[in-house]
Amino acid sequence: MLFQTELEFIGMGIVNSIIIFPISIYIMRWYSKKKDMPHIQLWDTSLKTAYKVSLVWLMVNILIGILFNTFAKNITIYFLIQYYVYMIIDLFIGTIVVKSIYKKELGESFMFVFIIQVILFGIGLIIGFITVLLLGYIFPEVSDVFFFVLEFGLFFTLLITASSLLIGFAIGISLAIMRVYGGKELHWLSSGYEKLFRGIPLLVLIFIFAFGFPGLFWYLESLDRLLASVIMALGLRSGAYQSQIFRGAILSVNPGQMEAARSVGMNKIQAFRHVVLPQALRLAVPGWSNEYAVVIKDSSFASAIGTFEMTFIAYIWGLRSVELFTLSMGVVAVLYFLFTFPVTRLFGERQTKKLKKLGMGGG
Amino acid sequence: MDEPLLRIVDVWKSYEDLQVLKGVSFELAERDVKVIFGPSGSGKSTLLRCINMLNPPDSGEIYLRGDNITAPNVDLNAIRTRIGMVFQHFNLFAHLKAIDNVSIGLRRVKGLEKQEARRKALEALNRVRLAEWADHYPAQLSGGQQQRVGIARALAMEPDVILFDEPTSALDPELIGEVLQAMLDIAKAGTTMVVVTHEMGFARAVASEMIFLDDGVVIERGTPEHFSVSPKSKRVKRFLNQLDVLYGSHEKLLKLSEEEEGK
Ligand SMILES: Nc1ncnc2c1ncn2[C@@H]1O[C@H](COP(=O)(O)OP(=O)(O)OP(=O)(O)O)[C@@H](O)[C@H]1O
Ligand SMILES: [Mg+2]
Repeated sequence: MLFQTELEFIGMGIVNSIIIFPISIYIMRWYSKKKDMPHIQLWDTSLKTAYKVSLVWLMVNILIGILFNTFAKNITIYFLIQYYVYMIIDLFIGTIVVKSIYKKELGESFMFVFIIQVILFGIGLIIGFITVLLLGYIFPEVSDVFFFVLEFGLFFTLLITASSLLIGFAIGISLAIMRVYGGKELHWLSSGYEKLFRGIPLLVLIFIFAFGFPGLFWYLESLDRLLASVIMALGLRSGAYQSQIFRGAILSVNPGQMEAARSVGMNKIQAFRHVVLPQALRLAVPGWSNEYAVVIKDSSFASAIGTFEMTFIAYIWGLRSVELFTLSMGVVAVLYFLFTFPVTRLFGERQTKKLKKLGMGGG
Repeated sequence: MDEPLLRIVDVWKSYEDLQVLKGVSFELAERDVKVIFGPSGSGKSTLLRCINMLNPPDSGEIYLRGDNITAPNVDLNAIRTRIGMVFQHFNLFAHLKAIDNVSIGLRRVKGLEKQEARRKALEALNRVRLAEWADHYPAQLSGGQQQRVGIARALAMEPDVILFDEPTSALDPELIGEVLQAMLDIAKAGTTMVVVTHEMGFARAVASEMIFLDDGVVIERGTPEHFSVSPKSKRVKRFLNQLDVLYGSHEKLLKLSEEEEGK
């Protein structure tokens, strides 16, 4: 099966980056404000720097995770230890990569960002060990389910969510453009699509793609075929909702923006690409983060056809006894919550505030 | 030969059944500043939007340096790079810093390199005295500063003519002076402009001709002196009287800033 061995490390790598990412941004912001850093005077610049560094780090994380697991499969000790070993290697290579990419522009501010990342990494390491040990010591069962689900489920849940959101993004933005700028036929096509996919229950969609068209993903192995059907169903449906999000966002960009863009000589496409779209995408962030929360939660429907993801893993674990079932569902519920609430809060509320500051969306 | 920079010939325009422009004609020579004024709804904005073909006229012709821009098959995008526009409500690109607002046209339309575009944009910002505000977003700027960025955005493209649609009418009184000053500066530096405004002080300082537009028709035209001393039509007189009541104080603003400059 796809990614069988790498998944736990990639999963943990992603979790770590996701956790460290917002914390580091906040710390950098706080620190740069307090110290009035010459290179990072504007919060904006420090945020951009942080994004760049963290993005590169995340990529490197995944890459190293895959490499480490392909070449060093047999060194497996306790998986956390292995995980930290690879994180340290990752930190080294990440530094070099980031440095060579951003050497010229960042200078001191890069070192600043990096040092904070390193400190955070250390803190994360210690906190991680303490929680793992404490959890394992005090609530061994909880700790067992928790790591079992993380190990075997998280990666697939994130994979399903990310791929579906991506497919939905491509569909949604095209439909929205068709609906706003297209002629009658395109308008009809796109609103028809929206109505269709919003009218069919997700589970039915999944069944249709998984079993209704058995030949749909003929080139994949059977388990991956199920996974692909789930992604397909979630992605197509998300496209319908994302189309609405983006249409609203495009329409709420002030028409004066398009006019001003045309008045400097941009053609319609340039004006859309460089002026309307960037603003629409920013305006869409709160709605989009909501859609992310919907999709990640609905990815649990995949368990209905036996696809590996967090819910299914928790389900299998819980099947052994009633008490375990309650426990495993409780743990998986907490996990979903951790992956939805902070994200929608961060991106939804923060972005709304930021948009207000930019005076966008006609207030 | 003496082809004027801009020649507008018998322009008509209607929105559905509302006839807004009813045969407007005028000419504009190089380095000229033309002021258009008139009551609300008389078609001033519509006229400007016809000139840069955001709303092409129903009939009539517009020539820019002898090129008929109302002819079919004209590349309007290329034409618009030669006609700058400054809007009543600024219409700055909200997601871009001041400098990027000014340089985006240079980069995306004129295809300049990033550094070159930035240099030119800074130059333009400098001309409206905003160079040190280059890295601010529009929402972080005052209305007067925003409008000056709007002027710089038009200036940077080095157009043949810049159209101003009531550039100060959305501003608080205390911010009007700085915008008029910036317009005065670029007018004196030789920029050709068509300005829709009711700021008579500005008109007197730089306009070579003023046009009074009412109900889509040019009622009267003449030099600023003509309008301040002996306007012919009753309508113009009444309108100018109303303006005095409303706008009288702004002239002082402008004079103030001129004096400051003299010091
Ligand atoms: N897009 C449009 N569709 C329909 N009618 C319009 C449109 N734009 C303007 N009008 C109408 O055309 C007339 C002239 O409008 P225009 O904006 O040119 O006047 P104006 O002289 O600029 O007035 P103001 O001083 O209020 O800006 C007005 O009656 C207005 O309601
Ligand atoms: Mg108007």
